[in-house]
Amino acid sequence: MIHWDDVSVRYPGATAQALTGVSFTAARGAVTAVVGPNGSGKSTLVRGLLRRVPLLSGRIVVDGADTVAWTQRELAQRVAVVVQREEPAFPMRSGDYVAMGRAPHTAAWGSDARSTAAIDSAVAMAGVGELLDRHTDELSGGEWQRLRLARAIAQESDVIVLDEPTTFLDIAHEMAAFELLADLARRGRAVVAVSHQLNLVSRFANVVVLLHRGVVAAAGTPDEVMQARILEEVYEWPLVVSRDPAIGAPTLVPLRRTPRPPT
Amino acid sequence: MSVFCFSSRGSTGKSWLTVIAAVVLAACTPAPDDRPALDDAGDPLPPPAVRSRIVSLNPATTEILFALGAGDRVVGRTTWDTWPEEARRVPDMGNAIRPSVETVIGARPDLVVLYASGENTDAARAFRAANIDVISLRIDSIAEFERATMLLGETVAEPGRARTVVDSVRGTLERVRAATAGRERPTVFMLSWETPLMTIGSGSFLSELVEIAGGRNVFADLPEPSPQVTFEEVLRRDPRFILGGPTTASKLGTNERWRLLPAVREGRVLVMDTLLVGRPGVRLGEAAVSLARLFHPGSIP
Amino acid sequence: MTLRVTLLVLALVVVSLAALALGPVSVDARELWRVVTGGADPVSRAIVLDVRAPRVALALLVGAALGMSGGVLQGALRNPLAEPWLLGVSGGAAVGAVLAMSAGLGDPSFLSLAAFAGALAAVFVVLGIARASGLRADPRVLLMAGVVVGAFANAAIMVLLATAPAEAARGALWWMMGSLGSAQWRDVARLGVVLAIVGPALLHWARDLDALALGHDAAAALGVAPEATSRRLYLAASLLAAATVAAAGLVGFVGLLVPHIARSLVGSRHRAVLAVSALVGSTLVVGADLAARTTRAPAELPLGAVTAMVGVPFFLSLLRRMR
Repeated sequence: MIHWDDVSVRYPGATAQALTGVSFTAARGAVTAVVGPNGSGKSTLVRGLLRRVPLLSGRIVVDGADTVAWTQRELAQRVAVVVQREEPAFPMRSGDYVAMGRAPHTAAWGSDARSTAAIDSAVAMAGVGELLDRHTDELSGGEWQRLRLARAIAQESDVIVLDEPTTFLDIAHEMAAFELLADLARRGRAVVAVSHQLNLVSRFANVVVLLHRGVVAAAGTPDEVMQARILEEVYEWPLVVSRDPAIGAPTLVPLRRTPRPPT
Repeated sequence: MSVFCFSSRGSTGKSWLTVIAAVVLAACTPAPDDRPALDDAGDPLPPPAVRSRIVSLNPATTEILFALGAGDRVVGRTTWDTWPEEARRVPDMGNAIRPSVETVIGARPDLVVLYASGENTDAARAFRAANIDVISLRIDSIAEFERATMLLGETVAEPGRARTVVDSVRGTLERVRAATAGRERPTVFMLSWETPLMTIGSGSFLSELVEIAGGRNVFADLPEPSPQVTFEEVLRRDPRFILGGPTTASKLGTNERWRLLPAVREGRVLVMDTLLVGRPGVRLGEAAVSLARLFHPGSIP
Repeated sequence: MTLRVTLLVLALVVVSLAALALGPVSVDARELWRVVTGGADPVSRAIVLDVRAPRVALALLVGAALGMSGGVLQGALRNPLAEPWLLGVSGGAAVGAVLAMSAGLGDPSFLSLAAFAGALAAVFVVLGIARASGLRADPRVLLMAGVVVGAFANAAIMVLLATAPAEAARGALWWMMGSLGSAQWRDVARLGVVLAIVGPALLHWARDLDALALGHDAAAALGVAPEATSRRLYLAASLLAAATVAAAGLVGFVGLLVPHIARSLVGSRHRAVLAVSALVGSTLVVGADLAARTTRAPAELPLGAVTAMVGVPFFLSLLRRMR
């Protein structure tokens, strides 16, 4: 599991803190979603984990071990991260890209059987088999997203953290992606998904952590967190939360502030 | 070279003393063929020998070699070595600065005459590594011309002709000096380059020629051969004559800026034959004559 | 792909042999063989072994070093227009060389040292500027710092040349256009040592380059600490570039063009790109040097001009294929 323990972050040169005292645990076998408005600090959580920004205080613990002592490589062996923005400077073969997921585990020269197996299984799970021979600049937004997922799965880490994994995906692929995340969780990984797609999160997440201006505003099951009064305060927008039995999870519908003009 | 110089303390008689003194004197006097051991690049001089294949990478030294009678043994020259006429028939090896080492070696020379410059040290080293004798010479003044002629003369085993060339040039220069001696010396500004404005300083043979021809270099106080000067300074010094090459001189008369100078307004722009006057070679004497005729018409028939 | 690499190696061998055989003085194949085995004319021997061979060897090393350096910088800076001179190397080297020449210390050994020292000093200034801005390894900040240092260096050079004696100015101009004309075995040995150390290290770090080329966040996710790794790579690439400057002056375009050729042949994985860049770079520079000294023999064209003239049509054809 991965545990953020009282994590505070302030970006260099900023007056306000991006995160203050954030604590939550993402357990194995569960999908933990981190949600919140723009600027609430969701991506900062991920960047702090990756050491792209230093932690002002607090620590990040994986399976009981404080990650502060790990090298970047050791971190990548235990935690796979799909970052928000990623674009190869030079187009590469998609198969080679997925194989890069094995880089934290293998030596600089040569590859091994374990790697090949991991890659094959990741490719199958993410459903990117037919993309492998194409180059990354030839893929659609959705295909690239799925390829990145495959790379993270190939890392075979216990923890997988994804920052906005469903951007560019159509309805079918969005659902497929979250079903894949749920499947990964079922198979024993700790899955952390930063997402602004509240309705998908409510369907697939076991735990939802709601961030507001760098602080945890609410944490719990989707039913507990996805309540109109909590969300309206955080998102500062009128909305309605309904529960359709066919869906089995709360659905959030934002209301229009300006009335629709008469047709 | 003799190193034993001791005073005799013999007491056996005046005649013996005289003999011993004579011997000692002879032993202490430098040998007649004693000469400086280094060329202008600081390297040892090659030994005198009859050279059968000489590559001369310098217009002045090519002229000198032909004057020494070694012209038929010159197998390579630079693109700018065009005098005497016979020199044009010698194969062109390219530049004097950073010459093509390969081309020169390919001509199988036994002596290469280089222009002494920092940019030629690599070439000198390469030639010596290929077992070819090298002599690096720099000729900026008349004295350096004489020295170069003597050194070259010895290196190609023609010391006597070298002496003749030097004496002949010196003689002509003396005659020019004498012919213009009593006359008033006009000040002369030598226009060497326009942008940036450059003139000839006292470090160049051209300045010496002007003096010999009865003129006075208006920038003789600058020691470098080719110093940069400002136009205001030229105005301030108000030279009597302006001396330039054919192309530069022709543009001055109609130029607004240059017409600020009285010398230009009043048509006192003199044109020099740059091929004759431009290099410190064996025609230094004729060069001086041509200048004297410009400064003092009628002084030399 | 092995076929392509084999053909490349073959091309390199052929052009190297041609460079040994061709020149203002022609040495035919038989004579060349005799130079190697013994019994050749001493003049031919001198020309091939003392004049041409060190030149060809140095050209090989310069091309390999520039090709690899360009490939590393393009990947680490995520910029297809990056080249070895980007991080202040060219400006710093030129200032060092021109300073030395203006001070009358135009001796070739000292000149190399001055250029090398100038290049490294400039790189540290560029990295220092980036660090002072707080965004240490951000490619855009580095590129800007490189441009600033380059502009300053150009200004310094112009001032120095305006007040230098004519000889120094001409020598400086010649040096800045790049030349292998004064190649000696000593230069070959020096550059050889640097390349022998830095080259394999870069091949070892090639996988890190693959990660960096995805962006700093993605690189971190793959276990590559972006800032420390980038800095290491910039320094290695600049060291190679500085070493070539010390040997041959400023040879442009090779480091920019060659990695693109390599990528079009073997894809984007940096281990292959760097190795093939070395091969292609060597071939290009040996060929360019051969052209530089034979096209207008006995005069010699500046090497940098030839690489640009050869490189531009290549680049255009690459661009056309890329569309």
